[in-house]
Amino acid sequence: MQITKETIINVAKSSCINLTDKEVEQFLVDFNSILDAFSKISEVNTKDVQPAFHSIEISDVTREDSAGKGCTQEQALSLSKHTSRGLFVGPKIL
Amino acid sequence: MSIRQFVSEIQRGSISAEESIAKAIKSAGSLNKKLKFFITPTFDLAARHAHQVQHLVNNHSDAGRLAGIAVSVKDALCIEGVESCAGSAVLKGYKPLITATAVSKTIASGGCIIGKTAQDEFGFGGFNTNVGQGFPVPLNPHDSLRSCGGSSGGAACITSAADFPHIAVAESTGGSIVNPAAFCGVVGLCPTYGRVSRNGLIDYANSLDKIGVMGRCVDDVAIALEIMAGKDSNDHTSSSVPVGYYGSHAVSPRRQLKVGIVKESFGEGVDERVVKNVRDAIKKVTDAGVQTAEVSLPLAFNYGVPSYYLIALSEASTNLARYNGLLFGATEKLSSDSKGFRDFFASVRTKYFGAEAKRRILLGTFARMAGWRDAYYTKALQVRQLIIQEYQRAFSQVDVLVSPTMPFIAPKFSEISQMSPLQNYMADILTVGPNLAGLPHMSLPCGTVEGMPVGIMFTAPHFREDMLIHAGGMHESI
Repeated sequence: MQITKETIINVAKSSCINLTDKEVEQFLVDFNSILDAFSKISEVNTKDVQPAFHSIEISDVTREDSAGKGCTQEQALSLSKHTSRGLFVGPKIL
Repeated sequence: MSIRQFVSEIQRGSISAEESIAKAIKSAGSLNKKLKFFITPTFDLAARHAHQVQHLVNNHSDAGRLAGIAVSVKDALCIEGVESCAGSAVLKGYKPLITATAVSKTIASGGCIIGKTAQDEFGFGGFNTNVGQGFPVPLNPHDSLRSCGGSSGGAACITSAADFPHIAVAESTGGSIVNPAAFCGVVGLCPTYGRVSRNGLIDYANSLDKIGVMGRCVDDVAIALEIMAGKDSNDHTSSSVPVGYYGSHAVSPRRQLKVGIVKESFGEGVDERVVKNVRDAIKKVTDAGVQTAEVSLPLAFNYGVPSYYLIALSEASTNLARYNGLLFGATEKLSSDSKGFRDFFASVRTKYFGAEAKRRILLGTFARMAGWRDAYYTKALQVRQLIIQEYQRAFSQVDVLVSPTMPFIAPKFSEISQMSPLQNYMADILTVGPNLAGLPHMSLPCGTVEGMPVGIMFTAPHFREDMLIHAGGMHESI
């Protein structure tokens, strides 16, 4: 399988990362060599094998539906430089 | 002096915690100038913790099993009010509102937090050279032209160099504890997935991240693990399997373990001098009466690296989606003529993520995309299932597995700069297996080659840290 420049550009767009032409060229080389090596896993017969999302058994947990201790609005806002009148300020959407 | 002995002296009052930590601060400051193991020293915090310990001792109260011990913490673990960046410029300025559970437990046991240690950006590397913009690359205390290993390079560096009682709280996703422990000649223990709460850890890959410990001897890491381990309601993946008295296994190791020698780990691509050191160590334990058997793990060795990286990068790409410059960390100016939210987020991410972080985000995003997901991400999860089963079969024959930790000694920075990303990834071949399967594993010093430390690695079944520590204690005592 050969990865193209267009694939790299599309993946970067999905990842919210801007790439220079030089970076696209470099990642193209990297992708092709890395994915070529990683494609080796296609040799393994995985018919009827369940994916292991974790290495140990993880069970769902529940708790009482009651309010617990959390951070205050002031504390949450203190981590950001973009706040105004008790709210976060973001880039324009429209 | 071991932690056990030192804490006993502190409790007796024959050593002052405050004076001891003051000396540790002075020494760490001086060593850090040369070796660059800290991202953020926290000397004031250490002094405050030491004061609290001394107050308890003066009042004849129990000051804890880490009383007066300097504790360094990998930058990826949050400490309330202390800048915690996971080695990334994208988190510059972030001062968390919480302290990681594992760190809180060490403080509650008398540990004195001395600093945040250097690491590859978000743990993305095996040599601690993939650091975020403006972050230090730690230098190996045995040879400053060589890497400390990674990604917990700073943790191994200070553990090796410290001339004061110290333990390092570190983290591993694919080998980030045992790798640097081997390169720097210290003991590094990565527990079973879920053994230590991940609450307060800045994630790399949720299904693979484990918090562990480094120290100068097996007993030191056993005591620290015992303190950090256990169920935590803030991490639903933490296990309720009872925590053992790990320290007791280190000081009185049994000899009746059956040790499996992993055949593939002594094969092609592993430095013959490293192989010889580890084989010699195995011979010593065999001569002392320990039973050994050869074990083969073909799936783990042939397919472990691609399976590990495809899963780790897929998870990393989703975890790192949250860094966009809006709620915390590094940011850019918001201007009224900005093009919109996507351009703003992309401008922050493009500016502050390093090259390896971008590479991993892109690869992980690709592996999860429609059209590729089944061939890469899902397939890797299925291969992981088979690798876990392969380890389970091995553990039906033996108690613990043994192998070299890394295929070579710590490389020179000049050698690392010539390596391709793929060569970097392949260097993890001996460590990804236990990490992918979530198995506890530990690296211990095993002689030297060219004056550089070699590591021997033991791996045990899930939640059998007691066996792992037995094996480590056995190696240490022979």
